[in-house]
Amino acid sequence: MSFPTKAALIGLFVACLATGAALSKPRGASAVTANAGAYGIVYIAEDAFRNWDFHCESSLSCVDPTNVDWPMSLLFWNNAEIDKVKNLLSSNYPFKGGICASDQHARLKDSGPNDTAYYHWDKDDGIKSICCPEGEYANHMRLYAAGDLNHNQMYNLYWRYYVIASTHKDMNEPECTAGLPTSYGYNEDAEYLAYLIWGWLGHYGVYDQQSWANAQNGDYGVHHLRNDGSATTLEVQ
Amino acid sequence: MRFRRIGFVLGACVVTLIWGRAAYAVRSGASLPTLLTRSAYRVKTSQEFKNGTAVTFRPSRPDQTFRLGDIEFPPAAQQGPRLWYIGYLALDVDVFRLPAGGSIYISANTDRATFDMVKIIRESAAAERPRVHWSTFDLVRGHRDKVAAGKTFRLRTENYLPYAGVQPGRTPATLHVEQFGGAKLRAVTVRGGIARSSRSPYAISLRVRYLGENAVVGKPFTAQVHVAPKAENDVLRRVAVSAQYPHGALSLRVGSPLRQVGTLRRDRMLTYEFVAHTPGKIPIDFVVTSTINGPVGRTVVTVSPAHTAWLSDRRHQTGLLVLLLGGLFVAGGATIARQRARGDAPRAISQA
Repeated sequence: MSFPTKAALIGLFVACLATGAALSKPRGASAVTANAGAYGIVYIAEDAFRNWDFHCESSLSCVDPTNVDWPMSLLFWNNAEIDKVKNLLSSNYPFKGGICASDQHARLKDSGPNDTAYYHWDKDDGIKSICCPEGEYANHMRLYAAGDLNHNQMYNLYWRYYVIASTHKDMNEPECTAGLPTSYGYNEDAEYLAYLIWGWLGHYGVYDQQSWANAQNGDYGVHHLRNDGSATTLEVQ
Repeated sequence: MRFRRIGFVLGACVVTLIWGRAAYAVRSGASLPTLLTRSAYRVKTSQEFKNGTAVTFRPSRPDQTFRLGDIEFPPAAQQGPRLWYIGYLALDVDVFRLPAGGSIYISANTDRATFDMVKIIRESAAAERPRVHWSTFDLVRGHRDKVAAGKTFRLRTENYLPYAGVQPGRTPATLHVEQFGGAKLRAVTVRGGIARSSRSPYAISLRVRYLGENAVVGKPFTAQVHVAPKAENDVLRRVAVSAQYPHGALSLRVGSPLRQVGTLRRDRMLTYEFVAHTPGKIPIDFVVTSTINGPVGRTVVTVSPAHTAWLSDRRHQTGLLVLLLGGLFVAGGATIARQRARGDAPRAISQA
């Protein structure tokens, strides 16, 4: 075998490895690492939750700033429940599951009688404005509440029935639109848009009302993290 | 004859008793759906919606709000910390249609602040004979998740009102029905009210006290954590306290961060001895879990660097102050003595 042929084969092998590694990365997997100052727990009454969602849920070792996906930035409160909020937003975020969106995981605690567990994991693939956005951004929102299946709301005397959410934008995801430049993030824009949509649908909200201490900005490859650290509160009546 | 008269009197007594009991049962059943855990919650007073009359609502729109009545809160009413308001409802639910993916929500509010929410869905979209499934969550009984026997079912709910739901004076109470995905509620019959209780929704008190003056890098410091039931005679089970802190900044000298208390009847103290590895403000959270609510106590410890440790000790500070004062005294004495010595010496007089 001549030298150029051998080199070409090695090159091909390396390219295959690189492609395989890229494709095996879970959707939305991020090179983002949360800064120490932006990573923590939000406490309210006797409830608590991590201020980022995570790629994994299998063990406590997942709870790590290197495993984060996106910062939490929305609070649906008063009369909120995950499926209800998804129903209310269905005209603007009509897509979910399948190829459109993949699960991420939140870590939350909702103190109540007979709740013997400490923190719960909750997973959600979320709701999306466009399933496979090509050349334009889709808005993607994942909603979380502590508890088991069918326990899709939390309650305390301040926020009443509430759920929390992370939101970001997606464009040209490799699973749908191979070959086009992929881009994720712009969380603050996605949060503001959710606030505007909530208003258009006739509900009340306050942009950037709660400090959840997860402000972080930066470009990490195709992930463009933009978050001012304050969450928008959206009232469900 | 006498026996016949006695028999008649006894018979009349029995009939009266039965009638009275039956009448009482009807009256109490119609008037008040008693708070299920009334004695446990030490209910002091209660106000019923519509004077305890059952009211039936038939929603004609997918999203509809009905008036339950008004609640008259006292002039200085507020939610806690001594008296707590609990909303309670008895609901007779009649589901007309519940397709796969459809859902019905019934929620109750005072002053637009929601204190109760029931979600109704089909048990399983794939099941051949799907059944009605309801779930709710509150601070009295926690999460409940049930499958109803048919399309009509009865449930009771109780929950602490939110802070914003308790306002002095007359406050409207409403019932909100929302239907999604083609689901349809035929009717819901409601009885209920608001009770006032001395029992806090937060069942465990938590106090944290740090011993000593300052935390210093490399030196141990102690936290005393007190947990106790808030209400007298409460017995809380499976109580545990967990200390959470940044592991690079602190470590525990002895034992594990998780301490099992088990059954808690009265005040219990747990001692945590930490060693700080880095200076600065370090958060330490003490999280209590139990079969009832568990509080979270966040504390922040300021750790001084080791080289300033000597100065941060009060005994050292006092010693240093004594030394300084002593030094000042000696220096002052020496100056005065020197001036006196100068006074005795002949002065140089300049003469122009």
